[in-house]
Amino acid sequence: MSERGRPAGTRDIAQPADTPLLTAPAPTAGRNQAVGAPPPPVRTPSLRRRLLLGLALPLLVLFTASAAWDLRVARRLTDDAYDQALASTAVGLAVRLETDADNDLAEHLDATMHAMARLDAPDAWHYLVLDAHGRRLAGEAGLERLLAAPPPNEPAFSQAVIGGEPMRVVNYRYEDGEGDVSVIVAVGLHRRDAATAGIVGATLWPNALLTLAALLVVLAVGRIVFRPLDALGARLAGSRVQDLVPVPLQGAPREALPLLAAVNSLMERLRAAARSQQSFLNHTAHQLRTPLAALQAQLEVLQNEPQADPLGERLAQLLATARRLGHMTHQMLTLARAEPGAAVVVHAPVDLVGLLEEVATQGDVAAQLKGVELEFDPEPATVSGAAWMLQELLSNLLDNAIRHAPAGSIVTIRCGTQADGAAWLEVADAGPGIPAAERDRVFLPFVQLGAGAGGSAGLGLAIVREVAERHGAAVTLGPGPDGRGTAARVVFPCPPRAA
Amino acid sequence: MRTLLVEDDAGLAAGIAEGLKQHGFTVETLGAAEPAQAVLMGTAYDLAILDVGLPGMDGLELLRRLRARGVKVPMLMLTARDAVEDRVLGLNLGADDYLVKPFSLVELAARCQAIVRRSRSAASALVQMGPLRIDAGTQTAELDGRPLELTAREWTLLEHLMLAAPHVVPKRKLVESLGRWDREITSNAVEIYISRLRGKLAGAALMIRTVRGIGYRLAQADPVTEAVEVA
Repeated sequence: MSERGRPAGTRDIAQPADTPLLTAPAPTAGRNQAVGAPPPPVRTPSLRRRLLLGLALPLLVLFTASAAWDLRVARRLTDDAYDQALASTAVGLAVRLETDADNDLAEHLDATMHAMARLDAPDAWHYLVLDAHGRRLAGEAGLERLLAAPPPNEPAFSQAVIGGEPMRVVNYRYEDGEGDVSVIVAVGLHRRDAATAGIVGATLWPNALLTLAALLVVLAVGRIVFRPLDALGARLAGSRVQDLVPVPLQGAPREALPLLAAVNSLMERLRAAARSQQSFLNHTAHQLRTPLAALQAQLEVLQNEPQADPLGERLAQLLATARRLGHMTHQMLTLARAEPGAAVVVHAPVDLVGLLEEVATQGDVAAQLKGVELEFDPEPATVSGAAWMLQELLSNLLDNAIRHAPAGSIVTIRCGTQADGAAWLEVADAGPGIPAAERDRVFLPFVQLGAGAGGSAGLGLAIVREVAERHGAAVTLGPGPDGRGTAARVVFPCPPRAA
Repeated sequence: MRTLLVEDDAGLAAGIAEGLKQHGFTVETLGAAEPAQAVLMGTAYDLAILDVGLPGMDGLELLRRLRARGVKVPMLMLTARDAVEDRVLGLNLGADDYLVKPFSLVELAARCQAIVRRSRSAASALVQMGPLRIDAGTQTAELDGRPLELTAREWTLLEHLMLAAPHVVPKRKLVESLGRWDREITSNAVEIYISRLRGKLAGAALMIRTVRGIGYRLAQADPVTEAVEVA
């Protein structure tokens, strides 16, 4: 097992842009690990996404509406222009006829119209001029069906299909001295449509670019606006929330203040609960320990008086049980006191070499009884932490090692500082070792491998892990130096670089 | 060793009193701090054992008052609380040692003897531990009543180990204590002196154990009880 004993988020400051604001620490492997299907993914709404959609969608709608409006205006403008030209042609035709004296204008008109048609390709031109009696004066007879009766001197427009092509038609009645002359002119729509398209195209591009620029500005502003929230998230993750230290409010965006205030208020409630639990624990300790001490003392006294067997044997067992009870009580109270929120932990520099020296006496006494040799190898190392907790951590690791080491073997206890400045300590024994499959499970309270080696309550490694977590340290269990036995290694976090 | 025990739990008080008597102590018991203050100020005891959690005035307050009035009797505190603050406070107020309940009587006896040894070595010249006795005034030593031939350096090391017992003494501290007279002492030299000392103690009920990487401690050659806890 290579387990990182510290909660997620303790040291990672850089947070990806889209993570939700408060990240719950991931459960450390081996504790409460659910067996079976992973939990369903949680949907987290994103403010950033909401802002982007809220701005982008109306922009796109506005852009579309603007484009549609431009199209309509362009069409109207071109229609007006081209209709005007069409009407002018019709009027021109009517006037020419009026001034024609020798009735040979028909051929001239034909030639003129053909020339115009060629000029205006691909639009075709058609025309018909009728006198007051409906007699054809010039043009195509087939256009009579399009004759309308508009008021005189007012051109009337309509659409028609001529020769399979859609056409714009103008009807114009010209009054001269001898009666009305009706002029019908029809022209194709290709040029007109091309002009419309041209205008729309010319206005569409700037619109599109403007919309795109607006979207980019929205994106950039969105990023800037949310930066304080990202920083806040990083601050919360980096803060000692696990130790229930209140989050500082200065520098936080105003909108986040109610949230932070609620978090701090919750932590205050938790601290109050922890204080009352701590007080209960203290009283429990006092109440439990004195009778336990009395029990143990009285049994020892009895044992020191010469006893006939089997009473002596029974006394020895009673005494062993009383001692186990006392040890387990101590372990349970230590575990409870090491949990987050049980007490406000004051961190101070702790010299690991000093810690090894303190633990040496207790260790050597136990080792002498077991017939085990201790070998210390202290290198200078300092950790910022709580001395009593670190002593319990080391003491429990050493206790385990001696318990499992076969008589005549060596238990090594080492400490030092890595190249990156992180302090570490390691306890190794040549006992049966811990199978890889069990390396997570042994950290659980009351779990013991084998048949409970000699009075252990199974809480030692739980205490070790708890203390490691309070210090941001990682605990790993692996095989001993020559592949056998167990080596427990605790690596503390690198000290922060001096600013 | 004339001892005053101040403990309010009757069962525990009886157990401790009986147990220490088996180790050769003379024990008187009181159940509260107020009478104990008067008694300790008036009568000369070799040792006082004070429970911290007493009704009324607690053991730490009693300790403070006694030290303030110049009572120099070695005092060992007993506590059920084991809070670090208690321990540090107790030692700062003038306690000589601190033991967390529950404890083994053997350890209690050993610690009591240790603190008395340390205080006596300041007041008088004789220090005793089991079969071993040293005289700081004459710088001589006796084992099982027979004189022990020691060089000056061997004697210094032995005294240091005895006063610290049952604790391990780091080698560097032994080097320092020798180096007061002789600047050229190296840790290799200490090893040589220790091995010579060992030879002179061979066969006795006490031995010098090596704790590799840390130092040495003076211990029973044949311990029969279960491991003790160091508070």
